[in-house]
Amino acid sequence: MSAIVAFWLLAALVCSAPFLPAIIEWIARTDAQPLVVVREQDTNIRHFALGFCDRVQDLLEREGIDADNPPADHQGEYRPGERFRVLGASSPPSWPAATQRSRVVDVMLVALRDLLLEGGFVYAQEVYARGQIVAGSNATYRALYGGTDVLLGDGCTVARWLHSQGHVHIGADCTVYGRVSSGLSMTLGAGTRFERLNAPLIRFASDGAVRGPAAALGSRRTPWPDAEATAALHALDERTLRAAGDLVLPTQCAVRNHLVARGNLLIGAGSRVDGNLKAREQLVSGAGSVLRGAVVCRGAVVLGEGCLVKGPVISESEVVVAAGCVVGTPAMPTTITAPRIHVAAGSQVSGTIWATEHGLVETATADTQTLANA
Amino acid sequence: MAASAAWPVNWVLKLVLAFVVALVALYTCRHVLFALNRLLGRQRHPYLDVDSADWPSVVVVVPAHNEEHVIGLALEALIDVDYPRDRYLVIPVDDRSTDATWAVIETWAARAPDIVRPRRREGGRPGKAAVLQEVTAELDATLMIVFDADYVPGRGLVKQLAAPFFDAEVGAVMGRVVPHNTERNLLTRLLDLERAGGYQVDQQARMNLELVPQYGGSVGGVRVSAVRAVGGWSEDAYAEDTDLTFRLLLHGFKTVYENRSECYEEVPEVWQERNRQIMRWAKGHNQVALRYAWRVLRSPMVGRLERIDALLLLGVFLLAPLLVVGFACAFALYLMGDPLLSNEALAVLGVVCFSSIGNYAAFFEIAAALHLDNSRRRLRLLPLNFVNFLASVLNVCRACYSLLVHDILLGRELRWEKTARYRGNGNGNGNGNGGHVNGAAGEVGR
Repeated sequence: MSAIVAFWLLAALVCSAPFLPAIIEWIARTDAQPLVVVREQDTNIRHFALGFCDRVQDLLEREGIDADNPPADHQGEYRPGERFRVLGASSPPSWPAATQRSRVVDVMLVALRDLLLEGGFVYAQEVYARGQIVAGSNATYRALYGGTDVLLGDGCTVARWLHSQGHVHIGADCTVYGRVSSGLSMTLGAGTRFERLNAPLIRFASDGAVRGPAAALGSRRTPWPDAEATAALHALDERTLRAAGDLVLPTQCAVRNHLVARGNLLIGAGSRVDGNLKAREQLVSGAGSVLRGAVVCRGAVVLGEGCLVKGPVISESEVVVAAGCVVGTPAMPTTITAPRIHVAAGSQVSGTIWATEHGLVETATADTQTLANA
Repeated sequence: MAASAAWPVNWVLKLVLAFVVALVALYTCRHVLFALNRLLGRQRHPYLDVDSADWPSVVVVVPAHNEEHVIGLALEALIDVDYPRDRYLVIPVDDRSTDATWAVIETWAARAPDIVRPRRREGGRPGKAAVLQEVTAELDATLMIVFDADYVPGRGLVKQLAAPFFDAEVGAVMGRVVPHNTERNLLTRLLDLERAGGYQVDQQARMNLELVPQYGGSVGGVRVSAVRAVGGWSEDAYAEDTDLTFRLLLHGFKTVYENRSECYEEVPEVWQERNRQIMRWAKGHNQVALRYAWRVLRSPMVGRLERIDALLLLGVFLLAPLLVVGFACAFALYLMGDPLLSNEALAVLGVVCFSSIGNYAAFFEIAAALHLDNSRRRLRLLPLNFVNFLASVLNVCRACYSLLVHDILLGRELRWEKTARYRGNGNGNGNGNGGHVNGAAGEVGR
């Protein structure tokens, strides 16, 4: 009898075992708070830069440093174990012998005037300059903040972010991870790899103005779709037409509708589309087209040579921007977002480019041309 | 002689049981697949990174009935939203309130007259669908975003919800609802688990797999032209949000889920209110299932995988009564001394599905969601969710009975029910339905 009771007690104990942690958590409430929802989250690309700027201002206040009359050189700790150095007029800074040997600068640099940084070093902490930063070639920077312009030499790497209140020039063959932003404009050299860029004007391997589709703007275009084409499409709403498969627009056509293609969407060269475009496979815009709405595609988006795109370009795989394209305008900035973004030399973007895997500034190579002219 | 008399009954019971077991197994596979997709698969957030654009015109509608304690906070947050001012309007709609809701709305309208354009309803059909239908008829904006009066959106939320509409195929967008009164009692904590599974795993997996994410009525938006194209909001639907999801789908539009567009909501703090909520959801969902299941099956606008998912989605609230029927069959077969239950594959499958994997799938989703939310310790509460599961089964069965007998057979007209609020001094009554997306454990019997 006692064995049976013991058995059932043991069975009850085993069965209730999973409930013990639950009951303890119910009573102790160690993890009962609501999930944190960040109300201020607004995906501001300058988030880290502005936070760093505030930190530097706090530091200067704490150390009693007048930014308009800086001391010659001032060092200390801004957090336990983390050192800073305020550079007055001593730019370019000189480094102790050990730093010269290791080529690693492990202090946060705060320059209250312009700053010239020697190339070939690893700057392992953030760099702040109230004025311009001229950053030497083949160096690695954790993060850079420039009160005016930032000029980055060839072959540099920025590990976290770069922000300038003025212009940003990034040399050839650089790698800029994280966020790069400018209050005025940005130029990226050929072969530079990037992730997220934002500026009113971003030029790729070109300092000159980009022409875009200016030559084609005044030409006559045929309205599309005609009655025959409309009959093959399904009207999603009064302005949106959907094709069950591929959709091919003729050259030099003018479209006022939003278009959706369940397959590929090919836009003939020199066309103008006022509505939004969506394709599930590939979306290819012929050379010299003007796309005034958004361009959205599950597959690759290819913007042919000299296209003008005013709306956002969104792809879930790849965006290829051929030479001479203009995407967005300084008055109406827009966004290009995709895992991979390849932009040819001689293009111009206003707004944000966000490559979640990698972005690359191409020289106008055969690869880009082939894709863009496909 | 007795055995031969029992023969047809025996086989009918076995067939019904086999059908129920197969259905449970199907839902189990679906939800294990969803959880694995969220843990291991490629995640789709294609519109999240759009931060600069020529933004479309947006109207935020906040239906409110006796919401004096909460609507002020919502309006304050909506006025502070980061969106181009010349393309942004907030329309709080006082729907026959008997408290100071209108006075609160007027106060906020006076503070931001360029943004807040209040409306007051003193007659007409009550309820959110009627409010939305009335506003939609007069809108000249491109998008309409809907918040319940107790929701407090973040600054970037409206842009996040507007961005997917650059995709011409998108008809509706749904954000994630996060309970904020989780600390109140065991019920709110269990509902927090349920919501996490429903949004973090279920909705996002459907987004990842290009299936049918569900528009949940709040923290979401619709393209006005799309709503008009499908005939507006269904005022005779218990769940106008689910109804709209399916009409958009059948017309060729997609619904998008934005997991990172989060907003706080209140969940029921008492079981009585929770029971009413789950019954309302079940009734509304089953009403939609009856209306659209056949059309989903035949529509050329719906893709093959979408069709399967849509049908399974329509069936989630039918599973509870089927589960009870299945248990009844199994019990009857046991009492009849049927050898099949003790020693054949069907019995094994039934026991495994009912007792283990069926529950495990829904619970696995919650566990995966908590892992993704990095809320590890609240995972310990999971076994107690069994209580919620049983309560849901019971209430969904009651809702099915009510829909069948009262609504369909006796032809009773739809009765609008309000959601209780717990913030403020008293329990006001909300106009919202609390975001009608079924949490993992809410989809009973999976």
